[in-house]
Amino acid sequence: MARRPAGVGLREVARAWRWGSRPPVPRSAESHRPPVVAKEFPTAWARTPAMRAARVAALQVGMRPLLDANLALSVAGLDAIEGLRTPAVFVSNHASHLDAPLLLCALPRGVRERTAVAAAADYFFDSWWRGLSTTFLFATVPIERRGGAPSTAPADLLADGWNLVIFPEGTRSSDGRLARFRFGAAHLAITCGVPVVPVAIRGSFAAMPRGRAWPVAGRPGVSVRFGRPMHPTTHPAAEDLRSFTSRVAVEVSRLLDEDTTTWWESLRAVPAPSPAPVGSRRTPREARWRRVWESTEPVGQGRVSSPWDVPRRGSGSVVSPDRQPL
Amino acid sequence: MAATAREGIAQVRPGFVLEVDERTPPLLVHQGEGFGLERFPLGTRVVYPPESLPELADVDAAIDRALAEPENSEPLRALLRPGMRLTIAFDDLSLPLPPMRRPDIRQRVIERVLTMAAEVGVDDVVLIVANALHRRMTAAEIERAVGERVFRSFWPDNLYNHDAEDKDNLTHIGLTDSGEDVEINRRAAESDLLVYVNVNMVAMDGGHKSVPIGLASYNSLRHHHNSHTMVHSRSFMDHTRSAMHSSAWRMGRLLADHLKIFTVETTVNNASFPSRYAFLMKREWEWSVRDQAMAFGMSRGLAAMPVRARRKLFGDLVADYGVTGVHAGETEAVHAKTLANVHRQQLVEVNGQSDVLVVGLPYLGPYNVNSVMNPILAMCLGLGYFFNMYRGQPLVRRGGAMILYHPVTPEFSQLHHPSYVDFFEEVLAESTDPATIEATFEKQYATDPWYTHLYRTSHAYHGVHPFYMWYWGAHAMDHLGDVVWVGGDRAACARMGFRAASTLADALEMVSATVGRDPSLTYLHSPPHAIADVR
Repeated sequence: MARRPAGVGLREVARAWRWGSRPPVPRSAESHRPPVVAKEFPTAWARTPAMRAARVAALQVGMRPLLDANLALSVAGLDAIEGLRTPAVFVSNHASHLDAPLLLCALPRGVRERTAVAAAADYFFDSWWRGLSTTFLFATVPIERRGGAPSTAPADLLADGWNLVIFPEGTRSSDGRLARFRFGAAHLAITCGVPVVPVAIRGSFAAMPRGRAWPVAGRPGVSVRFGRPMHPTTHPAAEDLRSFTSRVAVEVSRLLDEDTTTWWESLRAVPAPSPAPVGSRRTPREARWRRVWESTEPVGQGRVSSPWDVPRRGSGSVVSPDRQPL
Repeated sequence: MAATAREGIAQVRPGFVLEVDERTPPLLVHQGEGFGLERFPLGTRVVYPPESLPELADVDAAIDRALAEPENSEPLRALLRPGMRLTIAFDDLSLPLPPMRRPDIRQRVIERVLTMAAEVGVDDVVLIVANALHRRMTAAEIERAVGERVFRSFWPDNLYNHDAEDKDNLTHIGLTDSGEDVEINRRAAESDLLVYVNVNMVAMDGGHKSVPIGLASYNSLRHHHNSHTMVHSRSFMDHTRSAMHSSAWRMGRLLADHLKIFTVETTVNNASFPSRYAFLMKREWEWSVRDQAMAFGMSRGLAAMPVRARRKLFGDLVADYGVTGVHAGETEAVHAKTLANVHRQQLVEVNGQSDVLVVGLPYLGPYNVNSVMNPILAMCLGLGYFFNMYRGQPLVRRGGAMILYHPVTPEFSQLHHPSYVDFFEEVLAESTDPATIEATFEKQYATDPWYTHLYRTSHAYHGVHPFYMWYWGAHAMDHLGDVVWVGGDRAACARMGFRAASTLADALEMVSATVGRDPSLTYLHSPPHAIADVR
């Protein structure tokens, strides 16, 4: 009998290892992944004046029209950061790969130029081409989220006058809801003495959740809402890492509520910060489908209409005066 | 005292049991001189061995330390004296598999022992290959194992293969409490000190299996290498529950009363392949694009390659084994340390048995080094070794099925396995039952003058050796309800009492009469070796 190799064809090999993407890890093997090998990916080149100018241009003429063509964007609360005179840590919920470009494009140009995004080293820097492209576009700096030695780059950046965007949930939400906040952002703010600017991004989960590489059709609405800068209480006994993290998480959650209701209503609904870092204020957790259902509610629906709502030029949608189309 | 690699253990990932889901890529399955990528049904459990342990930073220092601070024994130097008869016996080419890169660990240990003997002034030194009824090693193979210096100094007069049929050079030591003959090499038995140098790949090796078996005669070996002890060895990887090992232990203790034995045991890690074939030791979902290309390309390329070229490619493979431990001294104390090292490298906890055990048999087993794997050796490797890679209870339930990947080509080496040809053609045609075969045919093959002549003067395995190989699978044959070979030669499988299938799906269809339509599957992903600690 002729020898016959056990096995699969080239096409199945390409599909099984997802050529062009990351190979999937079987669920039962996730806790057996190899330990993180700390390797420094050079990112300083992306913060040179020439690269800053190139990035501004790329975001302005490339990314922003692309976002605008696929999403109905609105931004609110920019007045809250107008008075910022020091570097800050922008802390946002995270549900989509759209979040970083949305947040950067929502920032005033002067702030955007000196804003870097903290990105997972194991995800965005696992290959040279992915690391180079994200570093160029978003001035990303790698941070380890699976242990290993903490990088000094974020603190150095803040000391150098750069703002930093951190998504403290550590990964994209699987259901659009706010997940547990990690301590890294609050730790940076406390140790570097900089404020935290809470940011709520709504609609990005519905527009491009995990598993999608391009926004859904129909220009779904997406909003970016900035909150007032939050300063850690200076007295060490007054507020520790945990409680500051908790306060920031509550504020981001409140901003998400504010985006669907009003500032006043969201204030009345806000709970006292719990000592443990919190995610969503809605507990206990509902069934997953209900969380996904709520997270995919089109932006603009559910919000109290105001007599000052005015029709947008060239479109049938209305925009509140506190929201500016991007 | 002894040396063990401890640095970096925290970085070594332990073995684990994967459950195949829709994210799991095709898995590598060895299939003789080749391998393939196989899609397993969802829910299949896959037993992965621990990653390779770090090797000792300074092996020579570890050897010196083991010789100077042995377990339950005086230091080796204190046992040496001018005018004494010193014999050094060492494991033959059946270990390690594949052969390790040079210098072989046996060479390194023997050189340290000889250096010490020379310093003390020992003149009467003989080195013996403990090949029992295995084939005699060639000069080149011996030189590879012991190194050029040792070979040039002792070959051929004082460095030779053990001859289990040389009546004049065998000594009957006595009978154990169970009436077992203990008969070993005369030179070793009459030495003032016997130093045994071992390489431990799996938990079955070493301990009292070294001297009482490696230097024994057929008269002695028949007491534990028979169908009865093999059926009651559960498993070979757990000497406390192995009838074969119990017999060897009784013999070893009797020997220890008559002869001073200084045992040196060494353990190696799981680096079973050279680094250029690292994908063979990695978990598939962690394969780089290069690994994927290598696996796919080689699986297809090997199947298309001429047999001679394929055999040369595999024959030239040299493992990057690193030494993880060296222990010396009194045999049982040393072996306890050795087993701890082996378990640290190979043990994987598995919860419960399954209905079907799947294994992919590689190109090499202990008895076809520099040779071909005939159907009987393939059976021995699969049902004898892989089935027995457990502690506690087998990976497959009693009455379950075993599916093995191997071509089972009916090809025999006339040089190395002459008696296998007749065994396959004559004995298996009469019966495949180990006990029947033993009662009817063993004596005839064991005493056949032609086979004995070839064993003593050529490089042939002893006439009785294929019987031992068959007994080796007796426990599995007794335990299993069905055995199917994927890709196996139909006629060869049928001769051995098994069935062949073209694909895994076909094999599962065939065993459905035994285990049902929805059986639980466990795939033992080996080599590198894993011992399943089945709870």
